[in-house]
Amino acid sequence: MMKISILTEEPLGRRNHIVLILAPMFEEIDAARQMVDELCREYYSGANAQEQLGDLLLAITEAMNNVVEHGRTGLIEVELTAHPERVIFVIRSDGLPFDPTTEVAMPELDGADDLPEGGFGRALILELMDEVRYEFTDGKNVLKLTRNIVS
Amino acid sequence: MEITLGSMDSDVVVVGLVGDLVAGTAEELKRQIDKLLQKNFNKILVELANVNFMDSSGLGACMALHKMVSEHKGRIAFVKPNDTVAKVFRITRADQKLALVKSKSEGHQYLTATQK
Repeated sequence: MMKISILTEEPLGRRNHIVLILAPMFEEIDAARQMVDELCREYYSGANAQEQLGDLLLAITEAMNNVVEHGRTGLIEVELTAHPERVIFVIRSDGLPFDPTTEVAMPELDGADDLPEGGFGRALILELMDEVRYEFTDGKNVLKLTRNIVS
Repeated sequence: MEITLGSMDSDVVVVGLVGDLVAGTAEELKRQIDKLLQKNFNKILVELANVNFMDSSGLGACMALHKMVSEHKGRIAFVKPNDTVAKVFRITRADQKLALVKSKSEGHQYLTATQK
């Protein structure tokens, strides 16, 4: 059952800003990603932007997955603002402080038959985003991701 | 995500995926492959051409499948991911560990040639 809520009412394709309230469920992350994809594809029509938007979608999905998997949170608020040269994505959640920006290396695959099945998410966020900032304020985890868009 | 099963010949099973390979769908894929292995099918082609999006949980599932099939002395190949999905394999360097092939026939050749 989808509980996703949108806090603004303009048609999705005509705005550069949305705020979504999600239950901590993977189905809602999927829905949020699709809405972000729709908004950004409308806003950034240039062919060069598409791969960059793919990077953004992957990073924000990993960030939202982290909250669901580790956050012990209630509702999650996500806010996306598209500017001509950058996209800013902010996730606010309650629960225990969890800083996903701590420097982490991509899991090592060389020489291992016992392949790791996890540990890629945070490394992908740091690899794909131009700026990643975290703070714990007023009892909330606030993660801000910025991706520059080169047209 | 939709998962379909088909056979290429008596030995090779083709697993077709349509949709997003993400945290919410990865477990079902692992369950389906486990069922195949329990039935002694251990040469598996996973078609990724219709996977629009894959996150690290989907990548982890691919790693898990590789491990599961290897433990059953089999082989698994992943066929033709789109550019977005291929990039996830590339930047994590998983493309150096997993068999990514450009076509089903290439995958079939890989599976049958390397089978012990």
